[in-house]
Amino acid sequence: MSKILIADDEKTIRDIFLKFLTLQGYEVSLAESGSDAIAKLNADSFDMLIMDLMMPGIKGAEILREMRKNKKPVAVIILTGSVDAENSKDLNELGYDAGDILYKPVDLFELLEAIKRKLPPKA
Amino acid sequence: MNRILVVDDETDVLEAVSHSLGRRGYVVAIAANAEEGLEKVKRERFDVVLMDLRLPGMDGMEALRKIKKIDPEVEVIMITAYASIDTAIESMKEGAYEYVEKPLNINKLIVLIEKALEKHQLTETVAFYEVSKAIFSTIEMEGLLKIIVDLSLRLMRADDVSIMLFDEHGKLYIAISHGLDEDVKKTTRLALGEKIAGWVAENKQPMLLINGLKDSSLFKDLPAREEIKSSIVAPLIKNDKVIGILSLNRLINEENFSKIDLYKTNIFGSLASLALDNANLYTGLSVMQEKLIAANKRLEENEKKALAMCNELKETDEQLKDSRLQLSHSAKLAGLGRLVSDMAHEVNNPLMVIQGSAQLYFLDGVSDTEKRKNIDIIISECQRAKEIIQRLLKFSRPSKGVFKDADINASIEYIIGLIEHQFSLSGARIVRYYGENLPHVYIEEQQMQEVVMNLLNNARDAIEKEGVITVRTIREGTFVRVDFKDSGCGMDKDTLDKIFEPFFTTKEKGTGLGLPVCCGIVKAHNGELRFESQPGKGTTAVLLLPLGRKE
Repeated sequence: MSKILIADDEKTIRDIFLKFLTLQGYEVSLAESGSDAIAKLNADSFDMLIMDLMMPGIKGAEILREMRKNKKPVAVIILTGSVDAENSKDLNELGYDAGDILYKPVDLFELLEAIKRKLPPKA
Repeated sequence: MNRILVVDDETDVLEAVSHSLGRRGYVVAIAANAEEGLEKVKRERFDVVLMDLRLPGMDGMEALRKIKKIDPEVEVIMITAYASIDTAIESMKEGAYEYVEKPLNINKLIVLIEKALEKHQLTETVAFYEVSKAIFSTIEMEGLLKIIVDLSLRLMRADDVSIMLFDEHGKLYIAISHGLDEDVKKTTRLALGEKIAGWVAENKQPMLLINGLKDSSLFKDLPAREEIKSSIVAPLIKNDKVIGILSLNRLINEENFSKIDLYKTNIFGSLASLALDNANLYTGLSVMQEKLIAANKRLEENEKKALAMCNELKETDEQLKDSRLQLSHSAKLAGLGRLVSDMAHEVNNPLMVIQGSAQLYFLDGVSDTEKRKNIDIIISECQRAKEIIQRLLKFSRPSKGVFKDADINASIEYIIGLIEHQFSLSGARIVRYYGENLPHVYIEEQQMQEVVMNLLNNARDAIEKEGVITVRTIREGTFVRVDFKDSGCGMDKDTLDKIFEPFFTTKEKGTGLGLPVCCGIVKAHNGELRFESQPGKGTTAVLLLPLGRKE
């Protein structure tokens, strides 16, 4: 079962993703801030990180940079409420582009498609 | 001395009359015919002419007409035989003074001559009266000079006349002349004491010169015009000051100027001086009047211009007001781009929640309790989204420019409410120290909120990662003071000096309009906006706003 970490500072959003992805058969963990996410990524291993770009404190791009340091290959889906994250210099430098980004509000099934695309079903 | 000419072809009459008249002290000249008589009248001046009507060659009647033409002032007494009395009466119509019948009664003739002389003198007096009338008939300089010359020619029986006046360098120049060479007229400039005119002007003495200059002790060395028989050079004096020189020359007229002529010239000269002075005054006056008229005209034009400028200024002022409002709105809209992306973020979160909750509703494995809870969440998130959008719309509306008393704390809090979440997301925490019982301020609230938004945005931009923005309000004299203090990067003095310059910006996507517009708005409030900053130690924006009208 693929393990997904969801990082978002809004509880209602975390709860929706938790319910939906659990129903889809994923093992879901939650982080409520950037630092929480980094701690959890360091403590555990995940197949995927679904992350809000804009959280208080540590920003999304920093989480990704931290994650790089650990050299754990984690698939990433970036969620954002802003308009042109795909042109963000920080993200582009880290190798992320439009294919890794979903704009809020996100259709849950669209999110599911993206997850399946990035995480081939485990044998 | 009175001069009498007797014209008669009878030699005994000539002799008898000239003898009798000579004894009575008259200067008598005689002519045996009309032609000879005319020749004498041309050359000399006579007071009375006795003219025989019947003469060989040109008759007395014809001679009378010609004499009157040559010298209208001479009195002519006709001598006639009884037979030609009708002609004598006719001659009176032609200007003769009287007629006497032959044979001549000497005593009767003398009485007649005396009467004619009286009339002649009266005529001269009248002539002076006419002169003064003529002279004062114009006050225009050029016309006056012409009149003086004409009168000199006639009254003084001069052949050439000139009037010299002083130019701006105090030299005499020929203002007008009759009978003088044009070149001489143009080039003559005499200093005081120089030549005859200069001498006369310097000594204020009229000068009578007979037979050219060779007899004159003063001027015998000067080159003389050979044709001049006699001259009078008289100063024109006004208030003891020489204003010009009148020169009269006789060339053809063989009778030289006499002392009486000098005397007459003096009288004539003083009249002329008076008139010239008047003309000078008039010229001065008209020049002044023209200047006045011109000045007046300029004044009127300037007034018109000033009025036009005033109107233009008014218009410009209106336009400026409009532009200021427009500019402030543009700057606000420019700043709005950023606010919009912030707000989009704010709105997209509730939308995410709404969409997600709605989609969960249709999934298996979601309990009714959960579904109900999700519906509640959807409703409250809709409200949240609505509030965000309303705040944004309210802020983005163009200002109406209406000033009123307002609670600055509430005004600031409204803006903070709009941005606080986004600020905290980007690491800027806002701390408020609102003054208690703070008096109202007199503001145009929307514009002032724009200033507050701008200052807060600047504070956030100064904070690189995480920091604090402290907002403090306090009363300070007749103002309410608002400090926006940030713990950001601060500014050096160079930057601080430029922050109010339009289009100056340190931000990657800055317009450089924010602070200039803020400054304009604050000035329009009679308030003050200043900055205190040090690199590395943060910046404080100090905003002073005047108290409300009801305070």
